[in-house]
Amino acid sequence: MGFVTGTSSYTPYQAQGKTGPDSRESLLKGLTAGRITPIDVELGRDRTMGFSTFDDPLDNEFTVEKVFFDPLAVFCLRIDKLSLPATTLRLHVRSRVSEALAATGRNMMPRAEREEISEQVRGELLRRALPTVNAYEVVWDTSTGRIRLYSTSQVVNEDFVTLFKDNLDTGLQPLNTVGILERHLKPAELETVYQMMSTTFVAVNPGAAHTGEDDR
Amino acid sequence: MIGLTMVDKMKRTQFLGREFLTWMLFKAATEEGVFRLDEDGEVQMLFERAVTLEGDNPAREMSTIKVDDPTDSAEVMLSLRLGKKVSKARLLLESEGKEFAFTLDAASLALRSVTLPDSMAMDHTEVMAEKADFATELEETLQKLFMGFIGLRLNLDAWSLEVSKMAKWIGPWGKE
Repeated sequence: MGFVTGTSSYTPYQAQGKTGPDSRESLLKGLTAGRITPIDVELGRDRTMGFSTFDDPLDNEFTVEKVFFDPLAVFCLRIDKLSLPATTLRLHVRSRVSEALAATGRNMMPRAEREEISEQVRGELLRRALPTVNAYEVVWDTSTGRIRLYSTSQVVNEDFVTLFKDNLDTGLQPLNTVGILERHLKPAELETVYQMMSTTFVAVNPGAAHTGEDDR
Repeated sequence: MIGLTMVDKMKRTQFLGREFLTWMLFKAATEEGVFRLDEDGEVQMLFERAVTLEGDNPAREMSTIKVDDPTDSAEVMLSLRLGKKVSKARLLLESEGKEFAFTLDAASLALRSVTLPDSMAMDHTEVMAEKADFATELEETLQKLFMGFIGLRLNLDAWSLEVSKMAKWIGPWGKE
C-alpha cells in the first residue's frame, strides 16, 4: 500500500465533468467489465491488463467492502506479461528443427517452415510460462475528483487512461504542465503561453539577460 | 490554440517547468524559499541534496549535483552561469507545520518519491483519507506556486524585472 506507507511515485489526474462515479453500483460494474482476464495465448497475445482489487491484485471480484473507503474508491491496475528468454526459445526451436529434418531425411529447411516451427514452439512455451504480474494502485478521491495512479511510466499511464475511460465512463485530465495550465488559464492566456519563448537568465553581456519575448 | 496535439503542447511548455524550478531556486537562495499563497498564507520550499541542471541540449549538457545545500553551491552557480536551468530537484515543502518531501521533474511537473506527512489518525480508513488529503494539499500548493510563476511570466514588465534580478544573482556568463 505505497500511498499510505513510505515513499511513492504517482501520476495525478482530475476526473472530467464529475468528482466521483455515478453510483457505487456503476463503479463496481465498470471495474468488473474492465477486470483483468487471463492472457489469451491462442490469439497470439503475450500481455493482458485490467482492474483487480486493491488489497489482493490476484483477486478480480469487486465488492463494496473491497473498493469503497469513503471518500476513497481504491483498486489496482494490473498488467500481466508473458516473456521467454531468447536463448531458451532459440534452443527449443533448434531442437525441433533438427527433429523435423531427421524425420524427413532432409539437410535444409525453407525459411517459412522454420518460422512456422518457431511460432509453434513459442506458443507452446508461452502456454507453460508464468506471467510477470505488476499491480499499480489506483486511488480515486470521490470528494474532489482527484485520481492517482501509482506509476509514472508513460506506457502504463496511457493504458490506464484508456481502460478508465472505456470502462468507467470518465475522462481523465492529467495534472502535468499542460493539464495545470488548461485548468487555470483562460483561452487567450493559454494561447500566449503556447507561443512563449524560453528566457535567458544569464547575462552574456552585463545587463543583457532577456525574457525571450523580445526575440519574436 | 487549435490543432495542437498533447505532444505539441508538452513540447511547447517543457521549458516553463525548467524556468519555474530555476526561479524557485533563486527564491530559495535569496528569500529563504518563502512564498505567499494569497489567502492560504505562506509556504516554504527548500532544495535538498540533489539538483539536475540542463542546457539547451540535455543529451550533452546535463549535470546532476549532489550537495547538502544546492542554494549555496559554487557548482550549481557555475552551471547556471553556463546557461543551464534546473530540470529536476529534490524539494522539501513546509506548510502549516507539515513537511512534504518529493522530487519534481520539470519536463512535466511529475512528482516522484513523494513522502507525505505522518498521519495522526488511528483508523485505517481515516489514515487512507488523510494521506489522500495530504497528497491533494501538495498538488494544489504546487499548482498555486506554478500558476503564480505563470502569472509573473505573463506580465512582461514584472517578468523583465525578475529576470534582471535573477541575472544579477547568477552573475555574468561563464564566470567562476
